Amino acid sequence: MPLLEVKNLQMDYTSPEGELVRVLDIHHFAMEAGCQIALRGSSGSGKTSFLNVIAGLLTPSRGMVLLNETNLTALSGAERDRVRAAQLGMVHQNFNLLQGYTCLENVLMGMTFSHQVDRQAAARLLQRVGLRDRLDFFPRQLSAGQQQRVAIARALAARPKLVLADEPTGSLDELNSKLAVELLREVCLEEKAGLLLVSHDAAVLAPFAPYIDFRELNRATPSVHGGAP
Amino acid sequence: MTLLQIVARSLRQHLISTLICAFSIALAGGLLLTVWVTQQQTKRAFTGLDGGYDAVLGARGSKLQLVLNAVFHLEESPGNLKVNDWQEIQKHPAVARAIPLAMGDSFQGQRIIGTSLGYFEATQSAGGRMLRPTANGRLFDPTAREAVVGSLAARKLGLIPGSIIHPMHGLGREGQEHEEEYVVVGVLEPSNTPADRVIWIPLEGIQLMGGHSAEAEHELSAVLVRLKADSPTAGFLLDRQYNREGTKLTWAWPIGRVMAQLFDKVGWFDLVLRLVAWLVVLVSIASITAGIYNSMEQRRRDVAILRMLGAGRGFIFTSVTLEASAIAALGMVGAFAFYGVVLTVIRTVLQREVGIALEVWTLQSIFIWAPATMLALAALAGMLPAWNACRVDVARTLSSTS
Repeated sequence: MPLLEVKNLQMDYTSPEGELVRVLDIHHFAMEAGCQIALRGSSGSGKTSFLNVIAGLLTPSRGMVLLNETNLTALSGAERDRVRAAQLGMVHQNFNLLQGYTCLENVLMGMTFSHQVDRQAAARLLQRVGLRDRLDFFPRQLSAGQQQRVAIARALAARPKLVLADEPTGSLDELNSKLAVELLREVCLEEKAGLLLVSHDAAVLAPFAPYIDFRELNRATPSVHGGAP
Repeated sequence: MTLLQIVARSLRQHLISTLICAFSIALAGGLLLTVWVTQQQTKRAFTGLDGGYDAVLGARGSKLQLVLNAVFHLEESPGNLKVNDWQEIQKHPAVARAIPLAMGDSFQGQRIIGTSLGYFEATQSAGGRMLRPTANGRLFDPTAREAVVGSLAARKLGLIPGSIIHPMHGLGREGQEHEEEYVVVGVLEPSNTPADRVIWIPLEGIQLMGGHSAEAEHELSAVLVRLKADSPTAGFLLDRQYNREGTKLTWAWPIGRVMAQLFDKVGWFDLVLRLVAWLVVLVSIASITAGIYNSMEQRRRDVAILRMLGAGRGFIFTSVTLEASAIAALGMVGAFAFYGVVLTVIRTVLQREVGIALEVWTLQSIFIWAPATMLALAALAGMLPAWNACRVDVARTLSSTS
């Protein structure tokens, strides 16, 4: 049984001009537990929407998303929140760290909503991503590469089944991009979490070869209006 | 991280806004507490502080003026009554005590009142005790030129047993000085009543003071009357006798009701004060809504991140409303400090000028309901931004920052 399975997924939204735009039209997508998959997609291809639907942050117009055999699209908002807290981790291009919280607190926050707060485990994770001496630093005191490492540690804090990474290297230079992707892959492997990464950057996608071209997966062509609803 | 830790962190993150809102709550809450307690306690003091007497008998005139003059030692005397009138009411079968008062002189702005020794036996302090001199003093000898001084008057004028006072005619500071001099033989223990502001001398001292008219020897300013407990209708009967059937005297009874009528007359003023206090409260509560709303741009991103991490809408709603209540709680701590300072000043002024003592920190119902109301109103005010926070488009907000 796959960890993630997407069936007949369609997502429409109404543009500011009143036009109905289809963002996603995915017949079938599946990935096994612990598997690492990369999707290649250009800006506006709908890949961010795809990840947000999997995360339960967007509701599709049709179809289903099965995570660990649970149909997320059939759940209430509160139930989806609980699934997201316990089974999913997310990494974004601009890290999305809480600026008023230290590195350690950001990671602890990743554990808070799955009710498994463990300060030592959070510190271990930060140590694992090379930030042992930065536990009490605030995000603004860190370099971009370091911030992304905090985001990676936070995404894995609740021991999720699946980590969704949306252009995780978009704000990093070439060297840090490489390091961040390597780290993300290693830590996901160690924590036995699946990794679904989307990027437009061939260098980022290279280690995942063969990767999936999102245009082949998504039959919708939403780029006219910039993709994300 | 617990909900409370997250709320505390948010308060710290928006420290300036938090402090401004809390300060506005502190002023509003402090104003509410001050207005309420001052109004309640002054009313209670003026309507309940009768010194243990039921009525005042005096010259024909205003009952209120008579009570203010004889009991609270404010205002001018409305006129004099004859010693015979005192003797007559003393003999009334329903009267337990009738204490004569003679006024019209002062010493350095403090009233001098002539009375009998019975005054000190019959008059009760705010705590229900008798008026007594401190250990190093005694009450005056009614046949000698001796004085007993109220505690506030003694402190203000620096009078101690052995001090000499020269009565002046009239109640101002610039009257004509009498030739007689009186020796202070005792200072009364603080009674928290207007008696603390007065210098007491024997009744005859005022009546026979040099420079007073010849009639003064046979006149009094007022008589304080205590009725017998077993004469429930005596007050009514004497009211009819003096106020309706008589034409030369006024029977002010019961003292508390006379004073209550004063408060009833100025009741609209209390109402206005309370309304103003509540308006200020509402404005300060609105400042919480505005404060949280103004920081919503920054919060929107944090809310989206929390939602991404699994926080439910209920959690977000609760955290924002709790934050609003926490600001109110912080403000109410300041409100009590504000209240404490302002009421202490009011207490000092009232005690000095009127002789009544407000109880600043005695537990009162407003100490419970005012903070509770503030917290509830703040939570209510926080619901609007909380609702807004719940409606943050998480996917769009996260995408816009990534």
